[in-house]
Amino acid sequence: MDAEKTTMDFTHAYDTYADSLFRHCYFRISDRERAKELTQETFTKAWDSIAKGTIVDNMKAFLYRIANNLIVDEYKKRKTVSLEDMVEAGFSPEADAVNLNNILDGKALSNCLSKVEEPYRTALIMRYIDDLTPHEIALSIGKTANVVSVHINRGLKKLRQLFPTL
Amino acid sequence: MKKLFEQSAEKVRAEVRLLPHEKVQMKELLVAHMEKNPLRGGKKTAWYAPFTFLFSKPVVGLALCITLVTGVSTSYAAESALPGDVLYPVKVNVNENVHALVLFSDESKAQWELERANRRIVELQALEKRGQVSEELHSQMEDRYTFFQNRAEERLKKLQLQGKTEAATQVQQRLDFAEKKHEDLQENFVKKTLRREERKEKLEEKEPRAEVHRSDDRIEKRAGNDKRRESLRSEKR
Repeated sequence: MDAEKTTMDFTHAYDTYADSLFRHCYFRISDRERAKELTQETFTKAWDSIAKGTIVDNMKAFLYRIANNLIVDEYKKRKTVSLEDMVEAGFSPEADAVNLNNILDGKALSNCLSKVEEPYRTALIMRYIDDLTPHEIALSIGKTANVVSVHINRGLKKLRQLFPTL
Repeated sequence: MKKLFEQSAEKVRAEVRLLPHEKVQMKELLVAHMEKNPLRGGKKTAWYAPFTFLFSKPVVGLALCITLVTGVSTSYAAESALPGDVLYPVKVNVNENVHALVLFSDESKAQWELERANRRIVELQALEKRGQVSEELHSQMEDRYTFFQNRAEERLKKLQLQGKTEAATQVQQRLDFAEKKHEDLQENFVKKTLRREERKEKLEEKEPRAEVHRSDDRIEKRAGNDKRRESLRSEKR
């Protein structure tokens, strides 16, 4: 009975968070296919952990924490690649977008975010792209909500400095 | 700017997402993985699993409190223990040694050794009042007293070498006083033992006669009783 409920809850979590996790991975690593793989891996790892007996209080934060760890591993594997380099190499965020009416906004945002350094960039992505609360971000990255709020504010300040016209 | 940024983010949220067929495909893969790796029927239980509650914060706190309270009350109770009591070893080996650890200056250490020697005298006096001093116990207490007295003397020598004359004279005075007390106690003990021996000798001399007398009295009493019974029976007849 409990096993059935856990399985149901987990598949429901997939339906709820798959898109936002994919978006998070996509904005962090700027590679659609790899973002898909990382999203899949995130859910697989989360299930393995739950199957072993881990009790999850906050599924959203738990999934984001796994995704963040995978992204960090991905960064380590790859050389630092900026979005500009990616665009030069033929990458264009708009090509992956479903709704083509808002392409320019999406592209501008991606460009702006790529200029902001870590950890402020992650904080901005998680807060505004993934729509997580500072508390949820704190749970995901293992810092306090106050620190997260500071990161978000500094990120916004950086954005304002870089793009005064935005 | 923040508003514009938030609006853009909202648009991005709507734009960047998994395509429906991608989402379904990924879900199928995940479900297959979940079936392949089902939930285990609970964690593997370790042998100590039933006792893990013992390591919880409240239990550990409570245990520490109980240990602390028991320890303090035991050592407090041990302070009035006398040789032969259960808590006496706690008094001598724990309480007094712990007290010695807290002292740092040679003067206070010397005073404490003297105090320990004095305590042995007081204990001996208390035991004598109770009349529980055997010769063996007395000699044991003597040994203990001389042990602490020697240590106090060593400390005194150190003080004298260091040139702390005031402290040395104080210790010397107390040492002399303790020695006097000890000598008095020893004299008393010797006197008492001598008296006891004298009494014993006297009793040994008297006892055989007393026994004879007692036995004679008993025979006479029995004979008298028999006579009375016989006279009563004859009267009844």
